[in-house]
Amino acid sequence: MYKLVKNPEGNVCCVIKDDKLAIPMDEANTDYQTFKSNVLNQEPGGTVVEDGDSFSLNANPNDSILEDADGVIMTIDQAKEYVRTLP
Amino acid sequence: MAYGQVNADVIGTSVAGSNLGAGNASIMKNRIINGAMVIDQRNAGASVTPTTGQYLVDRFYARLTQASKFSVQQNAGSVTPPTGFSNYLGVTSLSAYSVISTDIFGIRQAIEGFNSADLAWGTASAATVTLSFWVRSSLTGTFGGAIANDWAGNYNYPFSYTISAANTWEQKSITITGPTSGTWPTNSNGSIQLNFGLGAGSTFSGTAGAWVASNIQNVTGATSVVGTSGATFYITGVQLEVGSSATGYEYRQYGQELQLCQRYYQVISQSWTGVANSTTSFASYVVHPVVMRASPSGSLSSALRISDVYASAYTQSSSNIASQYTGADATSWTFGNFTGLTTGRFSYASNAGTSGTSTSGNLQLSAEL
Repeated sequence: MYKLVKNPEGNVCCVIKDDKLAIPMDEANTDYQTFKSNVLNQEPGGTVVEDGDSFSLNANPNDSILEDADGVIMTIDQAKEYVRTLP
Repeated sequence: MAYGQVNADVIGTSVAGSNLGAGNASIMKNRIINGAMVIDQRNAGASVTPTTGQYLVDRFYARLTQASKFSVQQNAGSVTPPTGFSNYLGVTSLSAYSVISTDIFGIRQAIEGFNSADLAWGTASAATVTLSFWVRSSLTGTFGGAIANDWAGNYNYPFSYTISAANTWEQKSITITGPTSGTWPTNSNGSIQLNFGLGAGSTFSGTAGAWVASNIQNVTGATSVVGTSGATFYITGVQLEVGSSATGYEYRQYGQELQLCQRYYQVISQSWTGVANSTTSFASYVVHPVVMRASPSGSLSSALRISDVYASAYTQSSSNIASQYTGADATSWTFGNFTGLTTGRFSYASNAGTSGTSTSGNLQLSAEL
């Protein structure tokens, strides 16, 4: 599960993976590349597999693996649309 | 040697043709970092059993499609390394697993484009390279691996080598003609990827000795280390250099090798400072000891403990971290899950408790390829 985090200015600045890994929004960071790939490749009711590491989706098949900075789980379409806007 | 003379043999092997630069320099000839398996920042010599892809000794990564089929440890089995080496990377198979077509198991290292740009791979001027390493296995026969383009993963050179005697160190050398095609970044992205196979299915297996425009990472018929329970595969002295023959391993000073590793991963363990920006959060700015390849991801090894200027200590209820502003040379972080902090009070992360034992999580920074 990924969560977006805002900095003190209120801008999304970081992605947290599984409450453990803080990922900067830097195109050269491979964790960030994997985050974008995982969100864009998720399927309704499916599972994202990352080098043997699987993310099970939520009970609602339209829920995504991305939570916004206000703690709301995005739908898969919302998550994909958001990630497409990222660098 | 008479006073004032120069030993021509030594000079000759170091600067042949007196054309210093790619392929002839006597220092930094080895494009592999930590090839002698000396630096182990993550595991400090402990054994790990990968369930997903994970880093082992520094810069070396376990790739797997099935969890827990092998363990990996610096100096596993405590055998005597080859002469001149103190460490090796040891793999031990944990079961007799029969690979399926889409399986792949192996150890890999990706080389940054900045460190291989001079090879001119992907052009008509592509340089020939030679891979050399020491290997020891409880199994004998043909083993496989591949050189690949890390960024695209679609242009590979499978190679094979033979281990003749069980449980005996053998040095191997493989010369590879540089590819005139394929995508090989020359910037901070991954360029060349070196893979040592531990078992692979048909999807990832092919014929050795030629470049192929697909993701072939092992050799058809190669020995499967994961196929024999208790099988061992030990490796060290890994060197990739320009030229058509292997030369002696390039030993680096420990501090130098550590700094090369820290461009991709580093651990901040003592006394970084910051301020409580709320009663539950500690904000900190960390200057990296070595400029990293990219803005790093951050994690804590365990819950963080901080002390304020009045020597009051606080520990997170559980690990929590977020980055605020990030760069390759420095990062700012916030750490939540504290209680009772005094907002605005200067504090420092402390890894030393009153007993002198480690009581706090370390900050782990990763900018791996």
